[in-house]
Amino acid sequence: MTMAETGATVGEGAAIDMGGAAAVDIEAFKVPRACLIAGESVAGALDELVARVANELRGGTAPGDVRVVCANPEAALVLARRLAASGCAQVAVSSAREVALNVLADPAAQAAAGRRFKDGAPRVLLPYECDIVFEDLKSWGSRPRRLRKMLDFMYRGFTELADDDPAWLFTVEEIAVRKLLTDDLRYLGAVIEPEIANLACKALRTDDALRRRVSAKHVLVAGYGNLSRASQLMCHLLAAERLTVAAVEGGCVEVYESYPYEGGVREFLAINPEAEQVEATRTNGLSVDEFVWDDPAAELAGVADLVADMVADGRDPAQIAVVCFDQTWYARMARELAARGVPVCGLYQPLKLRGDFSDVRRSLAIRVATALRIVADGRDSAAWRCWMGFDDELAYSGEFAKAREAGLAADKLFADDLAGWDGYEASRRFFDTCDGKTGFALLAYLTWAMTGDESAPVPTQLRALTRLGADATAADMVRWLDRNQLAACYEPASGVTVCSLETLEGQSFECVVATGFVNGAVPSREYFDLSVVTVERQARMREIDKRKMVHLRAAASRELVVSAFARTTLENAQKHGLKVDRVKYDDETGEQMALVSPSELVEVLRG
Amino acid sequence: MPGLTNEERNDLSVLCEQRAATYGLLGRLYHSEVDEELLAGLRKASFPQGSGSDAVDEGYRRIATYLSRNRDGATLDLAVDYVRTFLGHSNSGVSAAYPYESVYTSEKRLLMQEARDEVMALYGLAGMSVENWVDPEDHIALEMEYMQHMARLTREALAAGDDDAALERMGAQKTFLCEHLAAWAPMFTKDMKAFAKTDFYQGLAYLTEGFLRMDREFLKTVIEG
Repeated sequence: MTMAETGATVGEGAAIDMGGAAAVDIEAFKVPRACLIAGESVAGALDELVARVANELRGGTAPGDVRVVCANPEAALVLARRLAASGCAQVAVSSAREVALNVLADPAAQAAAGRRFKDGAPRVLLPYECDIVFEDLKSWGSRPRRLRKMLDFMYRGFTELADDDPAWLFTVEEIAVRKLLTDDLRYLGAVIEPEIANLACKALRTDDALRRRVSAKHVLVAGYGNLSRASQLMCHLLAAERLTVAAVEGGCVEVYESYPYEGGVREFLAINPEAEQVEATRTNGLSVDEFVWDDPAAELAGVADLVADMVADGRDPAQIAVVCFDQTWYARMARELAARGVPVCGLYQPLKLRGDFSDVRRSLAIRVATALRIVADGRDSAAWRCWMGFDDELAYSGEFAKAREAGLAADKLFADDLAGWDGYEASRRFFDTCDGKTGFALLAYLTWAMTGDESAPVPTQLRALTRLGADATAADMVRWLDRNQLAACYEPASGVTVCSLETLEGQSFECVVATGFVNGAVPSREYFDLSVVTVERQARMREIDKRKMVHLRAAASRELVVSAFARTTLENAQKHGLKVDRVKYDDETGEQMALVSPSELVEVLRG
Repeated sequence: MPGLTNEERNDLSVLCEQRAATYGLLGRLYHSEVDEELLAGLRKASFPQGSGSDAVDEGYRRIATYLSRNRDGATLDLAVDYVRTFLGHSNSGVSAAYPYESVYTSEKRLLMQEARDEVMALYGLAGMSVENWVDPEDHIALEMEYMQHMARLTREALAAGDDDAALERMGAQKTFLCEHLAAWAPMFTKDMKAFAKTDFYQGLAYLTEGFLRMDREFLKTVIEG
């Protein structure tokens, strides 16, 4: 692809205008040698990446001089295994976010970013913790809906390095909210996900010594198209001599980082016009088979039989993936497969710990989770902020604002400033009583403390913590929560992978089976309802869905099976948000049945 | 239907005539309020018992009970109940048993959906005119009229000795019942029972429910036999 074909224009000062995103200074990101591996197949791209790493090591490059970056932790785990199998076990493989967090752990990076973290380790706020920060931002006076849109704009801006432009925010309101957000995060010693790579990039650009410390001679990136712009450009800064990136053509899907940057490949070629270009192809063509079953139960059984037959015929279960578009399908599909003796490896969706912090009945899980964090680390500012914010509709944001102003002036973190808070001493004494408690006993004790009811069950969302064992400490549980709230959980077992579209990232299978592929599951029901979405938004949704289908198709190296069903009960259809073509009475069962259609997007899968 | 004997053809023809009459009655009762003329006719009629369907028998029983007990002001009483049952008092979409297929077969209970377009096409194929009809064409009265029209056409084919045409027309009726009328009428009659206050329209709900089920079984037996 030439510069002209990228559609990028070169303005004054050798900046590249990608037409929307902030202009990029080429020289700051240029890499001596660059290579783009692009194509329609993940398998081809992974083969090429692994081969290049192996070649590097065979050529005498030290493992420490090579770094592999992936779009999410699961992809990193999978690629690390492949590299180990190819004799490259010592090469560091991690997600882009992990790389950015490691950069931010450096005191020089923190100084450049204007953020101080307790003990140097960046504390990433979890979604429910962001809800408390949202209350703090409301104190500016913006209405919640307006504030959310503003934050959405800002978060996207962070991921695209839009804040490089001093005029990026120009209304008093936007500037004030941004400052309030930054002050809040500074006082909590924390970062939010969209700014992680942004801050790392800034630090690397302003501190050459830091950049030399953390960079590697050769950086290879898998799933480049699914990274945010800031992560993509961060990879440029980390590559001292060579940068090799792999991307699926036409695929750009949110698999871990918010706001994956669609213009990433174009920008890569604009920055590195002399880059080597390699096409990632499938060795054989892709066969696409389609099935339409009568109803979901028939589909589950039918797909499970299909997969069981494949395994019985000698196919390697680890080369088969079953993709479910609905979360409730995962567990059911896994059970159907297990019932047929098929080994299953489940990639579960992240936990969603959320709740109304003003009401204990609707926030028990997040209260227990917050308590665990404080038991694990009594100086976790973000956890204390949540703890002190419970039971008040405004999360005591007024009081916190005063403390924040004084604390920042004294260069303190919130955890250093708690002595003056009402209720702190009592809370501290309570947390001291948790010392020595572990496993289920700790969870039950915390649940009792929150509810006052000895028989109250541990919140459902946290019961999985009991799998860690009776000796699991609060710190063990917090590590597990962090891992599972921000990424899917990969159970390292060999078997048929049952997963979602997003958790397919960075993986390739000989056969991919897409189940529940009906209108309403994908595209979403909202897409079909022009009383809910505008025509413009509908077009954007279509583009995003098409990219997801390209991503799905790319994961299959030989065979793609698309499975749908024709009808289900109206209740079930409404519960799962399916698009109902017709309602029909079933005389035999006396139920109202919904007739549904296979997804319109099957055309994209056919290729 | 393998070659019919004359006797079988006659029996089938009589049955089709009876079916046409029942569909005609149902269509008329759904079309508009009962007027004095119709009321007088109904009072003179004798309703079958022991039809083989509990719902049909219950339907006729309730209608007959109403007709025998209510003399003065019955047309006004029935008109009020007609409005209450089929028109309702608001536009909430759930305040009456709206007699349109689209309402029951679209998720959002809207009028003029695909069902209406489909039945329009079928009416046209059958040569049934709906020129003077002002409401959406998937009204239950029109769908009943379609079944009546097709039953008559079947009888004509039998009378002409054209068994193949008769079979084809019966096939069309079975398909129409399965894909349209009987696919939504049970939900509609359930609502009727919730809204109607008179035994008359309660009875109509039972009658409709039972008759459609019987007719579908009948058509299935004849076609597969």
